[in-house]
Amino acid sequence: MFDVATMQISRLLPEMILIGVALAAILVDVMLPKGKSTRGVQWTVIIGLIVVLASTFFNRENTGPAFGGMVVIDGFTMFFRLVLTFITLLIVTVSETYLGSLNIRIAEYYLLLVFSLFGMLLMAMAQDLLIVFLGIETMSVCLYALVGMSRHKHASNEGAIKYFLLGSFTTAFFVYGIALMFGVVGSTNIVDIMVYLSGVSGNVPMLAWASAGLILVAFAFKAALVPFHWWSPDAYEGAPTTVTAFMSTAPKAAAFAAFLRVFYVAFGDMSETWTTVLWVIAAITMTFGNLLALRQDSVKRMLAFSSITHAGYLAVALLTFDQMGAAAILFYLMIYALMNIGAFLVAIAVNRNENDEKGYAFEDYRGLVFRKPAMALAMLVFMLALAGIPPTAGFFGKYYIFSAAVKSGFVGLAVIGVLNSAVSVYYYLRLIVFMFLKDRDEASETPGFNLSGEMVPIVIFCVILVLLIGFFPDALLAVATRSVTVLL
Amino acid sequence: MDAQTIVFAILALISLFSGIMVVTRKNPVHSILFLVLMFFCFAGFYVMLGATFLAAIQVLVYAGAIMVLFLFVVMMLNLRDPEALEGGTSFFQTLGFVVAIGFGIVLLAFLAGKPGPGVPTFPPGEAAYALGDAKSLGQELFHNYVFPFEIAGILLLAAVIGAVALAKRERV
Repeated sequence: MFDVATMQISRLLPEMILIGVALAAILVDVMLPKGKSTRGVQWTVIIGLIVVLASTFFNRENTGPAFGGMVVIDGFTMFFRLVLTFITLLIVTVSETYLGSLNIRIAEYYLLLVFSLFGMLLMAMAQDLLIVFLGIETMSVCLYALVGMSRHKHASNEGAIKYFLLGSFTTAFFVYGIALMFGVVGSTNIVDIMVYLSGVSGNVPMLAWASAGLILVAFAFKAALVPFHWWSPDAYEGAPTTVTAFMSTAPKAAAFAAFLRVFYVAFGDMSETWTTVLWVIAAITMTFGNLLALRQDSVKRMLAFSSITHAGYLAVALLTFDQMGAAAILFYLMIYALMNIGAFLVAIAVNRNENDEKGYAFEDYRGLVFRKPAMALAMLVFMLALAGIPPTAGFFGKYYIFSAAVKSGFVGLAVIGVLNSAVSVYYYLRLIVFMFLKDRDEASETPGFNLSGEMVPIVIFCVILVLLIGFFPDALLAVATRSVTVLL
Repeated sequence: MDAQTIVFAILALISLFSGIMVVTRKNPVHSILFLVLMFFCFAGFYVMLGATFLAAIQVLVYAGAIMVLFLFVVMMLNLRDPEALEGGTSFFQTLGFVVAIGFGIVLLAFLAGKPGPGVPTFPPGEAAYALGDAKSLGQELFHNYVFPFEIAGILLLAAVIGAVALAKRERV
């Protein structure tokens, strides 16, 4: 009945290496002399993450379920493994100098990033609601602490508390949903749920509906969809900016990975109802995020609200419930990570004083193109990409999402999405206008930059990828399409 | 009505009563003591389901350790005047009350509906008790559920690291 060989542990090699990396980083932190630097830990984690990427790549043929179907390693898992590890690698690489300027040089920062990556990988591979739950919790617990890293800052503490309280509440929703589903199906396995629900097709017990609703709320919270987004602006603003860049990309990708797997596979037979609910949520999310982003005077806050809007676009692709929509989600998550991380990094570089409550103002960008042309050009690319203007990758991301929506018959929602996308051009272009058109004289007042040596290559890398994917979107789309074939 | 139903009804009424008391008491210490009472009732439910080991853990960990922590925190915060917490009923309190009642009604309606075929059926009598003891629980935990069990360990480690990161003295 029970045999270690049937567990297929080797399929989880990257995750095991990741835990090894975390433990090694703890040891390095203890062994290195107590100085002011956590460089040693940073390098351990960087090398470790590269090894994880490599082991994912070399282990890519070893697919199939593991641990009795609790998790499944397939193309979908592989895609998210690479994307999530890659995002974490970018963030870890740029963190050290920035953390120094914030006076938070503690090794735990890197450990929490690694552990939250572990949680996210679980979410991407989970084939059992129990594992989804544990993955979400592992990820969230780390994020709560990461948001509150700047302990001397009021905003950081406030964001962490709000995120923590609302997040724990959502956990209760999720567990409740799982419990009800177990009551109906007698199993928490996603495949079992699918088999059961397709067996009773059209005659789904009420309890299963309640369960799906509770689980939907939990995912909507993690993906920051309106009306479950209340935590996100404060958490995003209060967190150290590298954490904000991380939080707005990787956990969102992981949330959508689990969202896709649970709703496409397990609740596929209930799709007619949940697409209607998501229709409303997506429409409100896009509009609401946009309207609030319009009024912001802080670039960090503007990006925080606009990330709500982008989650709305992803929800549009999610509710199409077909292969094209799912592939569009994967495509968009990848490029959104690149352009958003890039934009946050430039914002860090331009921001003059981290401890200034009024930091990250649009005013700081006045005449940037005359002072730092390269940086301004990079920001230009990221803003155009976020606004969805060709020839950047952002254009194709939106194009795939909305064409998937139209093809599935959600024309009304696609129109709302395109209109919102047009509105969002206003605040992205506003930043560009500040950079280009303003008087040169006033620029001289603005003091120096916070640009560190480790950030430059990452920003250049993001720019190149955003443009490259913009010119050759087919390659990434093909990979995304191949990855989602297991879902439908 | 057999004895089991009567015991269940008594436990259910007590736990419902103490649950309402938990959220309506103004003094947090009273709330916590009612919560302890509720946890004892839950332990009673576990025993009735044959999960004797779980019942013991429920009393030891929840009613014991965790509630002591709760009390400890409340006393550490030392709110002198519980009345000061009151400050009238806000719009959101009313809204929360309405939503909670609504959710309760919806759940009741759902529970009254047709149950699925998956509702686990336990063998009657002695066999049911054999399923809930420490041995069979351990076997499940370390065989079928070994992966979630291991992850839970990592989750706890991550939580400890997070707590240390937030609480430890700054390295100057």
